[in-house]
Amino acid sequence: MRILFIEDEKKIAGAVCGALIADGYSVTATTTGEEGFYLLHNQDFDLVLLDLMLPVRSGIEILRDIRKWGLKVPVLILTSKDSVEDRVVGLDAGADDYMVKPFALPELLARIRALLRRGKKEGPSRLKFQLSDLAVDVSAREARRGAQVLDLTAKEFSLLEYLLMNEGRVVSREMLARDVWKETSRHTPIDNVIDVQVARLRRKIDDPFPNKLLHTVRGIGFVLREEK
Amino acid sequence: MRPRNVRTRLTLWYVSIFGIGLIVYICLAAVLHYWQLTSQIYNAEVQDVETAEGLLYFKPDGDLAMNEEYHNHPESLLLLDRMMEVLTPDGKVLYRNKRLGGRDLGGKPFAGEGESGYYERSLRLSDGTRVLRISHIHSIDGRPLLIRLAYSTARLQHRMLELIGVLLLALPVALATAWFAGFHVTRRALAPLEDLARRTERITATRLQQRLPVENPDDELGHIARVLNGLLARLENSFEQLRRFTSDASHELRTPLAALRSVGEMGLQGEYSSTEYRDIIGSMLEEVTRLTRMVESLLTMSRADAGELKLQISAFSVMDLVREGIALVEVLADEKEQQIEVLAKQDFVVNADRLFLRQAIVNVLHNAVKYSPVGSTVRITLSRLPELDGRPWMLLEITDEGPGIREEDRAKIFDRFYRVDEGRSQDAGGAGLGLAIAKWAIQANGGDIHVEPAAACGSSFLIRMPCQIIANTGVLQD
Repeated sequence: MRILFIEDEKKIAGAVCGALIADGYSVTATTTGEEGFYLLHNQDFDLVLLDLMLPVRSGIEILRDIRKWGLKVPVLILTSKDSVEDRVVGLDAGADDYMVKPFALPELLARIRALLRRGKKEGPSRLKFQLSDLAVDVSAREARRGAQVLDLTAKEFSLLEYLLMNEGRVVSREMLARDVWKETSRHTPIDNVIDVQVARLRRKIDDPFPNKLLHTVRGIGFVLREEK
Repeated sequence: MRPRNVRTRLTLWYVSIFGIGLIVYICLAAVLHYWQLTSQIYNAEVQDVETAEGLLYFKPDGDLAMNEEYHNHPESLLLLDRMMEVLTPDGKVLYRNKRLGGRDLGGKPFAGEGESGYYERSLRLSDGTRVLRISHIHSIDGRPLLIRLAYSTARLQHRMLELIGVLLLALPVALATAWFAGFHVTRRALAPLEDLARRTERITATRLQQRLPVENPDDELGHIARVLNGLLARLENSFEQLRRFTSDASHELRTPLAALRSVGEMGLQGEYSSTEYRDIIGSMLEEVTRLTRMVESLLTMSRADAGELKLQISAFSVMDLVREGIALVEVLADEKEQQIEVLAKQDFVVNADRLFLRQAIVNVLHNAVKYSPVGSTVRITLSRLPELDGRPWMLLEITDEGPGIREEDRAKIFDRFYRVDEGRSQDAGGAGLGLAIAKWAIQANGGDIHVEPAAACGSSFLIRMPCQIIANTGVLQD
């Protein structure tokens, strides 16, 4: 998968490129809109990450040009402007998604995956998960480790399901708040709610067993994976 | 081209209106005077015609003559000025007096001239003299005669010119006087305004507590002074808020920045294992999260202050909102073995922005759970208040069994960044903005919030909102 990253802030560009490459993408980074536009004409990309505050020509103008030329490549805007009006302008200009700086890298990666998945034929959502000796059957709402059935509340179950869908990848508290708790406002004090809920889930799925699966990544969030 | 200042403009207006008034007056006076003089001449002519009729006679030879000896004062102006001719109705001249000489008084008469009463006409003689003439039919010895008599209007014209001349001569003098008076009157009228401007100018950002004197609150100047004072009060208020906010915000922003810096520096100075490095970076990210949250909250609040946040008003049940809030924080209460009790006899529907109000309730509820001891109970009651402004009001009480809030802190806990206990500042996510946001959200939706000490211990947060009432659904209990 090839990603074009148009961003003039070198620190952000470097960090995001590193994370994308680590995730297995091939990344071309450029600092000006003109160069990005030129590259888009001459090479094939699967996705464009576009900063809005660019020197000379704004990201919105670049985006309008991209769409005017009929390029269908998905575009994800990265910007520090977060008002509703700015979002509307960005999406109307032809963007597919919108992320406000500062963003959490895991969330950016999740959105990139979602955009790349889009358009492809979606398989039926997974109903059965298996990680080490943890087995989850979503349709039966049953989770077990080995032979032992785990008694989970509804919230704990949907939390576990979400972590399993992102197995091996770190999910941030913002992602959990939005996707599991469906909390749209960013000012609701939900972080300790999430922490407590994760701790309870861990108590049930990890504490009684020697092989730990649910890990806290300090400063970012949580990950469900088997430690080698 | 407009004159620069109000004073000149006002004076100009004043002088123009005065001048127009004067000219209208002069015209009216002249017309009236002219009309009066003309009617005087007319009356004199009528009298004279009547006299002359009595003096006319036919001589034995058939010529018409006039008995001139009748007059006591042959030098009388009337007599000297009189121009007279007598004609037969078909226009044959029978008599012309000396004054008239060879001229004629209007030539051939028209049919019926002077038959009914005295026919009046203004005309110009062959030598250019303007006269006012009257004609009258009179019978002498059975013969109808047309008597025409006229006076020159030269003197009348002269008097008119004199009058208009005098009035026009006086006009510039009157206008100059008006200009002078107007200029001084406006200066006096505008002097308090200039004074007000000077005083306002002296009030600067550092002296915003000063106010303008209001001498008479009911007149226009008093009104301006009051408006300016109101403006100053608001300005002072926002300056004060800004000052407090800047100092609080800088404290709140510096703390995580300082932590970031020292943790980073510590990490670079020593040799650590990769696990320790991960921990150091994680700790720095935690501070970044805190900073991010705070900046976002601050931006939201400043947008709210600037009126840029638009409320999405809808009608919804308060009970549902409370249940959602409880569902969210339930796990926290459960962890501390706390109970959340709901007591509501009826439900209410409010018209408000659901998201903001929900956030307000969650923030207050979250606080209650956070500051209540292990094993305590948080009580939520929903009740009806007496009507106000013709609308029903509801009261949502959230009561905890925490340490309570000191009286001097109660008003301030809704201020931004205010913390009852400075030591508590390390709570995740809390930056002393939760209650400030709650207060803003409730007020923006037409309600209000305040805090009271609870009966036993702890505090009660009271949220009042205008609402609609839903029919009694029995005792709702969670």
